[in-house]
Amino acid sequence: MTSIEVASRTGSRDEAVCLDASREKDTGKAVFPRIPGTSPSADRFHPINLSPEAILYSHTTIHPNPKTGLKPFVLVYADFPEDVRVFGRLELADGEKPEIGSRLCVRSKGEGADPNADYFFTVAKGGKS
Amino acid sequence: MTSQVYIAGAAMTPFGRHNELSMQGLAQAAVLNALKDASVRREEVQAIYAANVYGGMVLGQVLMRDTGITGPALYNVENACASGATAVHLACQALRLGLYETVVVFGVEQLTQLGGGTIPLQRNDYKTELYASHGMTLPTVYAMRGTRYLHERGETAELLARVAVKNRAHGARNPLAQQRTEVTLEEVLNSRPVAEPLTLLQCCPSAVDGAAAVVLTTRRPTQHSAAVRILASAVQSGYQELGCDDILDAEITARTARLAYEQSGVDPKDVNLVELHDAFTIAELLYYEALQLAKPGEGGELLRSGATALGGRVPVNPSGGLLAKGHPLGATGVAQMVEIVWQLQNRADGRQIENAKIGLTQCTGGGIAGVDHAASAVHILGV
Repeated sequence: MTSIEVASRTGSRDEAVCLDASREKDTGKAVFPRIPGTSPSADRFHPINLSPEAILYSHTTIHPNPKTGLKPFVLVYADFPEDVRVFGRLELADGEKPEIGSRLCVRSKGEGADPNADYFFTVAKGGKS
Repeated sequence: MTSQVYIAGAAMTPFGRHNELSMQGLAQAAVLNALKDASVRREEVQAIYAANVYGGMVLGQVLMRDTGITGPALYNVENACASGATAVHLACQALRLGLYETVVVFGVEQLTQLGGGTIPLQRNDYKTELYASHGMTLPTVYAMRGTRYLHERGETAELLARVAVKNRAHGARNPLAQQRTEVTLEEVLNSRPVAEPLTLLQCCPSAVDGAAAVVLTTRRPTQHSAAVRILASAVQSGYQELGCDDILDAEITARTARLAYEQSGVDPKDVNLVELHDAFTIAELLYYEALQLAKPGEGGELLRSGATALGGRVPVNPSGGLLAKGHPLGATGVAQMVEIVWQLQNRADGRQIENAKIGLTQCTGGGIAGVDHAASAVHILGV
């Protein structure tokens, strides 16, 4: 579906990460990002950590207004085995395309980054789940 | 419910870029024309409901100051894109409780002042802030639904484009619509990609100004060919999204519509026309099913059959909808009702639906991170 070349991944120092989330006690379902510990509602949830891999549920390629000079980029909803959906960027290697059902890895920009804020997704080796 | 609520008067400004009119000018034009349409004097107005999103503090009072309609209770209402419909809902409640006999509801927005582009998301939410930093916008939310819809239903982007072709053809017949040019499937599909699979002509224009107003009363109006009643008024908020929900299930809209159908006793198959929230083409397809105009999975077929075009069984967005008429947020919900009133009273020049008796409006507000939508409003009007 991606009609023109999108911004591709260049860095190699990205780190695999496990995101922090919360699980609602009543339903067992999870939410991301984690409910802040200072929240008066925090006692409705358990803190959990998400798996390092997820499945691509849906995607879009955003085409910034040409006046901005910005390259298109890909956004995804990624479904985790802990029953939670996370929104974020998908960084693609040359030749890769977003595809529903693909296995994704969660990564962070590396040293100094806050993984729960600066995470992104890449396509896992082997691709399709 | 102790009283019938009628829409005695309805008016709106043209939607578009209004460099020559301030927000005060827009709101006052709509309100004064609605009062004239209702044959209601200013001193008969017992309360005012003012809907807006980006205008600021005590906006309604500021906008009404010079009209001479000052003194009665004035309620400023904000519920994102559903602000106008929410204001009508609150006014209905007060009228039915007997608190007032006659009130004015108006909605107004001047989005051109924001400079165009995607509109800002809400503030004061850690989740929205995080997702916005990753690229979450309203087109993003709908584009995700579009991609998933095409995947699950085995459809192509042509189906989405058909919604734009239909509604823009309707808008070409509405002198108050912002965009009045008919477009072809090819033009829609070849317009600039915004958020795939959505192209520019599948997104409602974001640089638009406008206002709309209605006069609601418990006195049966006599000045028009038919007295339009509000048969149902329902507003709901979105559930927190937990787990991995189906994004094609417009749950909040389906829930609100069920309430409205129950309240009115109207069967979905008896609805003659609909004004719904087609901010993006995919939304209209999802709402066909949520509003029970089509069975689950049959929204695409309903569109292809021509049933939702002017001349069809249940025309949807005869005004041109948000896609062509424009979407000045605070005004939209009220403007949808203006269109239904005009249709039910045989006053919709150039796009009149014959013998329409029941019309439905639907608005959703706020693609807030973490809930389906912030708000949904469904109203059913009848003569």
